[in-house]
Amino acid sequence: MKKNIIIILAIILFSFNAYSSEYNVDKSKKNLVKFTSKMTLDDFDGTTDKIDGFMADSKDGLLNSNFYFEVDMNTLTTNMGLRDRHMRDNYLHTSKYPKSNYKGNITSVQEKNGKFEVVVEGDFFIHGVGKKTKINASLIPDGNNGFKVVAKFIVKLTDYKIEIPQMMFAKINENMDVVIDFMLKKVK
Amino acid sequence: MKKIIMLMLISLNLFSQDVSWKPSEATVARFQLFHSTCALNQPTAETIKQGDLLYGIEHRFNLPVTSGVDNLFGLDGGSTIRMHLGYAFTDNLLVDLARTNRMANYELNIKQRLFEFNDENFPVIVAGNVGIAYNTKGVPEALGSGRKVQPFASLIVNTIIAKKIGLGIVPTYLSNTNINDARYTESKNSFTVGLYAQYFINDNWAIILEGTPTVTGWRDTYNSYAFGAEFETGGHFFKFIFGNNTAINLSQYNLGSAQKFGLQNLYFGFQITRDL
Repeated sequence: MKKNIIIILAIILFSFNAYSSEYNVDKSKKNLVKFTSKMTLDDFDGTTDKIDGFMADSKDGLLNSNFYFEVDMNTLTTNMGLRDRHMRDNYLHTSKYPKSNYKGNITSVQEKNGKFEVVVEGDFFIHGVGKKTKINASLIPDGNNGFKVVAKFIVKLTDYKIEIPQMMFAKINENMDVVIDFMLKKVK
Repeated sequence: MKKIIMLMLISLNLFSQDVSWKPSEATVARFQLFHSTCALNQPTAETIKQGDLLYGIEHRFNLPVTSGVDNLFGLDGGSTIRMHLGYAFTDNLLVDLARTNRMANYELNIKQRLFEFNDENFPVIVAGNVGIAYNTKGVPEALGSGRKVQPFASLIVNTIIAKKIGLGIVPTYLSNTNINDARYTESKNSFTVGLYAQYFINDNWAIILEGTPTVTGWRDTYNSYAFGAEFETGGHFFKFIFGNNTAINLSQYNLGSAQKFGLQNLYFGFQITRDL
């Protein structure tokens, strides 16, 4: 009997230590994912607010937290319908790869002026191709048990077997600047 | 002890999967068969994204390609010129205002996507297009100012075979079509059926065949036929057109040509559209 109680207690304690809290992307807030393509004469942005995912923090607080987000690629818009269709059909092939996602763990946390500068290490999947990617992100407490997450990084299109798009007769830069900016709300 | 460790590991594994978050369904992209809002002269059932503008300019040169190098294969002979600007009030409603230099023609087109059947083997999109043309020059005064106006309406049915060959049929009813035929003083109407096939070679290039026979009603001497190529890139469509008719807008083009379709009567034209 005593042994059983120890087993149950061990399971409960250990499992409580697994995740102390979970945060989900707050889809009611103004979220943003922005890809910026640089060209010789002009830049253009592809944007969407359709980002979803979660952060589940561990017994160590933010450190080692699981971090997952995904982007609905069919909603990415450059504010020009035809260019959007070209982007979807000719380059991102969204009928086959409708979502891009990132799955990783927070490997470093530094608190600075009330916000957390974190490093997330994981795999980024775009266009069906995965690549190890390290992201530096800021987690800013929103005062309501949630966080605002802001990160900037570069995606090299050829790493994901995406053909370099040609706009008119000029090819765009193969390195795209990506900005993600979204809200996480605490769900447990 | 072993049991405890195993259970702890199992529970860790179970709880590491235990997030309440669930992925949502991916958005399905808009269903499209053709890429452009028109084939060569006939409309397709496609519209543009809500809030987008569509600007276009096109020429049909008045000398045939066979006029030789002295006339730069027809390019020296003056041309019919049409400019138009469209606006998508919704994803399914495109309103387009055009001006053509032939008869100083103003033209309003309203295209509404009506129905779509997204089937793997037999996809279909149906749209309706209603329009009105107003010719400010070239209509004999004796006919009266009411004859300057030409209403028309089309049904547009599109499908695609093996995702490569787009097909379209565009039955069109046109009113007051004989404004330049001195044989008649009373107004005549016409019923035409636009037919086109577009073969998509790759993501950018396509070739197009188009015919617009008049089924009944007034027509010029011959039906209109055309063939050409389409190149699309970066929000633009470029079309290179050869046909026996130098008219452009529906209210003039669908009424036929004085020239029989053939090598001796091929006129070059181009069209550039830009999604803004």
